[in-house]
This record gives sequence, C-alpha cells and structure tokens, in this order.
Amino acid sequence: MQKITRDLIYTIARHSNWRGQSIAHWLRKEKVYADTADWVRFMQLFLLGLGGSFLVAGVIFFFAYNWADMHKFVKLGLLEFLLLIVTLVAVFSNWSKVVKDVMLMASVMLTGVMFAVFGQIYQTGANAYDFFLGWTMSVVLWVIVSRFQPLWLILLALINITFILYTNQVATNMPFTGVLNILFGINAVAVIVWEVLLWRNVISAKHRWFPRVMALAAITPLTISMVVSMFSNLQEDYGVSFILAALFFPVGIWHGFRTRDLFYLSVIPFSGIVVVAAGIVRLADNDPVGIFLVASLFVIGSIAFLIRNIININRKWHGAAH
Amino acid sequence: MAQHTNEHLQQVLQTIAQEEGANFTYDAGKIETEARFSSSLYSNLPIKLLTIFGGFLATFFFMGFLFTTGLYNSNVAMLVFGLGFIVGSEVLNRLRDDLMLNSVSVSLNIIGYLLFGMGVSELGNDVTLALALAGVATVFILVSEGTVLVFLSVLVLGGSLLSLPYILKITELLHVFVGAVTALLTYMSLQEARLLAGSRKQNKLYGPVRMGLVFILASVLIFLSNQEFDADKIKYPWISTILLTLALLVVLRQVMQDTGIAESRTRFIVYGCCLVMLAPTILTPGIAGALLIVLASFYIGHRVSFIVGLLALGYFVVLYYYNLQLTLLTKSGILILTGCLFLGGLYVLNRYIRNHAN
Repeated sequence: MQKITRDLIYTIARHSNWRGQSIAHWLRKEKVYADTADWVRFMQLFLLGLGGSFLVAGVIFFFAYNWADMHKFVKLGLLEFLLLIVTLVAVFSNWSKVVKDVMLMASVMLTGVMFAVFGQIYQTGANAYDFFLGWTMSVVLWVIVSRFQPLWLILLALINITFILYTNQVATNMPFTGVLNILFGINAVAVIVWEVLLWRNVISAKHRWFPRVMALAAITPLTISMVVSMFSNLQEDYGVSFILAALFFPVGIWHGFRTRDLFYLSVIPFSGIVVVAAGIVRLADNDPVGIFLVASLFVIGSIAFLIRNIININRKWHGAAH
Repeated sequence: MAQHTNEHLQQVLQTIAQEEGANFTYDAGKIETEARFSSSLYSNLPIKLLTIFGGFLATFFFMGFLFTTGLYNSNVAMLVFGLGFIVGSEVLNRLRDDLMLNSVSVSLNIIGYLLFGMGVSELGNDVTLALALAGVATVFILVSEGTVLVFLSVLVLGGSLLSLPYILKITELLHVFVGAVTALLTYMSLQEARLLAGSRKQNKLYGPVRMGLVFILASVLIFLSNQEFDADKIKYPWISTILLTLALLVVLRQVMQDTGIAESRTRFIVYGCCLVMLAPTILTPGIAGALLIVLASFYIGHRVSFIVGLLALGYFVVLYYYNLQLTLLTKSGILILTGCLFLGGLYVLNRYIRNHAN
C-alpha cells in the first residue's frame, strides 16, 4: 500500500465531514507526524550536533583570545594534541558511524584553527589564501575516506574560498567573469563526480542535497557571468561563459531526463530564462519603456511554459510507472 | 512523494468511511480531481519555488516598465493601479486551477502591494500606511483561495502590524505581538487535525497561514535580538522569552503525551532541563522562539518550517555569544562547558532509551 501524504489527507478533509479526532489518528498512523523513534533520533542528532559545535566553537574562542602568556609551542602543541586525540578516537573507537563522522568533522575544523593560530603567531594574516589552501590540502584525504556528505560540502566551501581569496590577493587582474567561470568549473566538477559515483553505485542516492547545493553553486555564477559579459559586449571573457553553458547545460538536461530528476530540468532552464530576459533588456538601449514590458511578458510566458512542460514530463514518467 | 492511483484512493476512502460510520459523507469526484492535480506535481516544492522566483523576476521587469512610463508621478494612479493589481491577482488565480496563471497572479500581487504602499505613503502618514496595508491584507486573506497569495498577504499583514510599535514609538507592544503570534502558531501546530476538519476555507488557509506565522515570528525575533535594529532599546525582552518558553513547555507536554512518557518524574526532568537551558538566554528571546519553531514543526512533520527553525536557531545562538559582554576566554569556557552538557545529555538520553527498551 502506498504511503498517504499530508496533501491527500488535506484534500479528503476538505471535501468531507471527516472528524478531527480521526484525522489526527490518520496523521499519526501514516507517519506524517513524528513518532517515538523519530523523536529519539532527532534528540540524539540534536544533542550531538549542538555538543560538537559548542565544543569546537569553544576551542576556537580559546585560541582567538590570543593568550599572551602562553608560549607559541604550547599553543600549537595543545591544538595538535587535541587534533590527534579526536582523529584517533574517530578512527579507532567502536562508536556509531554518525558519531565518528561528527568527530572527523571536528578534526577538520581543528585543522583550520591550527592554521589560524599559526597565522596569528607568525603574523601571516588569517585570510591569506595559502592558509585556506593548506587547510584544504590537509583535510582532503579524510574527506574522501569518510564518505560523509557534510564534510564534502565543507571541502568544496574551502576550495571555493581558497580560489576567491587567491583572485583577491594574487591574481588581482583576472576579470570578474573569469572568476565566475572558474567557480562554475570547480562546482560543476563536484556535481559530475557525485553523479558518476552514484551511477557506479559507489554512493547511495539517499541524500540528494549535496549535488543540489553544488549544482546551484555552479549554475548561479555562470548565469551571472553570462549576464555581465552580455552587458560588457563580450569584451571580458570573449564569450567563454556562453560556450561553457552551451557545453554543460545540454548535458545537465540530458542527465535530468535520464535519471528522471526534475531538479536539473527546472534549474537549468530557469538560468536560461534569466539570461534571455537580461538579453532582451540589453538589446534595447534606446527604447527602455517598451522593452521592460516585453522582458516581463517573456519571463511570465517562459516560466509558465517551463512549468507546464515539467508537469507533462512528470506525468509521462508516472504514466509509465503505473 | 507517492502518487495516488484511483484504486488506492477509493480504498483509503472506504477505510475512512468504515471507521467513521454512517454519518460520513464525502464528495468523491472533487477529492479525485484534486488528488490527481496535486499528485501530478510529483514534488510540489520545486514547482512552487519556480512559480515564486519566476513571479519575482517578472515583477522586477514589470516594475522597471511601470517606472519608465512615469506612473510614479501620480500617487493616486499608483494607489488605483495597486488595488487593481491586487484584485486582479485573485481573479486570475480563480480563473482556472492552472500554474501558468499562478505565476502571473503572484507577480501581480507583489506589484499590487508595492504600488499601493507607495501610493498611500505619499498621501498619508506612516500609521495610515501600516493600517491600510494591514486592512487590505486581512480582506485578501479572508477572500483569497491561492496558497502563495495568502502566504504573501499573511507576511504583509504581519509586517505592517510589526511596524506599528516602531512608528508609535511604544516598542513594548512588540511583546504583545510576539505573544499573539506565538499563541497562534502553537495552537495551529498542535490542533492541525481539528482545524483541518473545520470549514473548507479554514482547511485551505491552514498551510499558508502557518507558514507565514513561522516567518513572521522569526523576523520579529530578529528585531528583538539584533543590535542593528536597536534591540537594546526595547525594554523588558524577558517578557517575550517567558511567553515563548511557556509555549515551548506546552509543545513538550504534547510531545511527551504522544510518545508515551507517562512518569511525572521524567516529565519534570524534561521541563527542568528545558528551563535551565533557556534561563541564561532570558534576555535573548530568539533562542526560545527558534526552538519553538523547530519542535512544533518537527512534531507535525513540516519539513520546510523545521529547516527555517534550525537556521534561525543557529543564527540566534551565534548572535547570543557575539553579544555577550565577556572576554573571549570566558566565552570559550562557557562554550566548552555547554558543549559538554549537551554531550552529557546525549549520554543520559541513550541510557534512558536502553533501560526502557528492555
């Protein structure tokens, strides 16, 4: 028997004289509401997450205080000792996988603190890009081994930050669109790797939020890059952003069809709509009055068209299923 | 999300009819049509988001159009157009159950409120503006049928009422506002089934109103907690904290009833832990409020508002430590101690579960 959704219960209640008491019973019976097992799991994760993050935050604050009386060797030694303990426990204890993952996450954060303290002692500055590069390089193996998606997200965040700081501090003459295009590249590679691993059954499709976040982190800069380069007459990146979109967007759409994933089928066309709408405004320098109306009508029409198509596609998929 | 085949739906309806007895009547045709419509969306959220983002984008361009035509020169024109757009959005929404029209209707609605607000603000003072917007939004909520439209109107209503204490310079009124929103949100979360069983209109309003209340509560708490909004000038912040904590205890009581925790000793320990944990945050109502959103949403399995609550909780906890007037060393001590307490709590919880599993 299929699971009954909240929506269906709402619909039935709307068109019948179903009693409240009985609705409540069904909401519990069909597990729309959290049951005892859900609460236990929630409380365990909640306490573990809060406890872990408070402890790490406490350690960070301790070193941020920059205790003048404490010798630099003691500071670094203390941190390294802590790091060693946490990592060893994460690897060799027989606690559950979740606890070990959270501990490894703490190790990753502690590595960052260690680099920050190093920067504090030797005055390299806390936002130097090499600091983030070092941090990224040091934790990459753990992240790969752990197969824990929050850690992957942290790693990708670190790579993104390293690159952005690098463009701010070293490659200062790189055009804005170039930065955006490379950000697209970094995050798109992450999505592709994830999807390939899933395809090869190396990872499970249970948690899809990681590739979703990364896909958004890839498509958003590319969309901005296309709009910006359109308004700069393609002088900045010579249309590289458009070439990237022409290469990768069809692949994304194809993949969306192949895996029956509506996410790619909605996000990629939406990016296209934004770019075309901006293009319409760009085309009409002389007559801004009419063109805004055209652009807004275009957006409404194309979004409606997109939604209708998504629903149709979805119906087709489901039609095949039943 | 599962799709409901007709056969399955009939089974469900028959089971309910058996449980309810002879008095149960239902409109099978309407239920079928609606179930087919909503299950054809597969996962509602992406489509809803697409509608809203599309609406915003179209609004952005359409505003550009309206301003290049010089509409903003006339207040009366803005007011009339604003009202016209608000009415038009509802008309479009009722025309047909069609997502194509929904995206137009959402963008018209947003522009309507913006133009109406601009028109009134030039003609009258701030109080008139707030009251006029609140009035229009209230009427709209009572009349409208559209989920997104009602949600937007709830936000407008909440926002305009929220602005009144600031305009009148009686910021203590904010606590009354917090109390009202908290009471409503808690009541709605715990009495979902009873509210659904009410009239058709009530059933339709439930989702968007509850979601709107979550966002309003989160924003008023930001105003009460963040120094950038002169939060330290608002007197008696503990009133809000106490109100929120009371609501939290009510939710906890219900949760424990449902999960079968009957011993009064355990119950008092849970209440006690909750109070002890919140006591140091009495001057930052945000933490108790975010916790209320998290627990109330988890209780009824509302994922989106649960995530909103978690994000709010993270934000308020960071803000709380940021605003503490202590040295980093003391803060670090407090943080480590609190972290240990939470992990200790986890240990106790696991032991309790193990003992009761046997």
